[in-house]
Amino acid sequence: MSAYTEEAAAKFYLQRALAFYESARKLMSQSQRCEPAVLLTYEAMLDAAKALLLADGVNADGCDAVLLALANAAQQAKLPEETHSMVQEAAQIHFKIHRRSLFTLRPQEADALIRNARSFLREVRDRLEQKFGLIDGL
Amino acid sequence: MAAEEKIRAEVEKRFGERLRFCGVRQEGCRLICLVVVDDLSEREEYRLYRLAAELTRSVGLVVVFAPYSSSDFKRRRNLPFESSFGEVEL
Repeated sequence: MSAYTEEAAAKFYLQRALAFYESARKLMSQSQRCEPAVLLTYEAMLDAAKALLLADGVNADGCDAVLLALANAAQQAKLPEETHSMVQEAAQIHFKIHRRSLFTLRPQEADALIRNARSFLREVRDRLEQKFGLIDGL
Repeated sequence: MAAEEKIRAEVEKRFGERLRFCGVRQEGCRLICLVVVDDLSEREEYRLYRLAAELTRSVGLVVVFAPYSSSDFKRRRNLPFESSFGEVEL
């Protein structure tokens, strides 16, 4: 993928991540509906992770490929381990919902995940801005 | 050490005699671990999520935990996901 395309794709994924995040935040604050809010938040984190990886020239598709690419970047000290851990925790909570074992997610879990997503999205935005300059609308 | 053994060893080290079951199976590039522990707290559940991230970094496969308190697991043991690990002696 050319550098220009990587930049365009990374910005696209980050824009979409922010839209998912905003929807999740509103859903949680207006109705305390944890499960849909968490699903949206997880999508936001995956898209932001894709943006982060694209900015480093890595094209990962699918949630497990994204998680492994983040883990690999953390192992190579290109990314803080904490950043990978945040996304992996989101994957855990997503997995908990998809086990469909009649779980009710605790509101604290959803709130914590949304807070983590906020700091992760900020980190990704800052990295993209460092690499590509200011991003319109963010 | 194989990834499955490494996960079991970490879980055993963490919970000792409170561990009732630890089963690991691979689906694609994901290792799914069913863990049943006596009186598992929310904090311990959260710490397992952190362990999953550490293990993912070290084994090169996505590790996810399905953690249960043994009393909770008894109610759910016949559900499709839980029973897919075979008979769990509690």
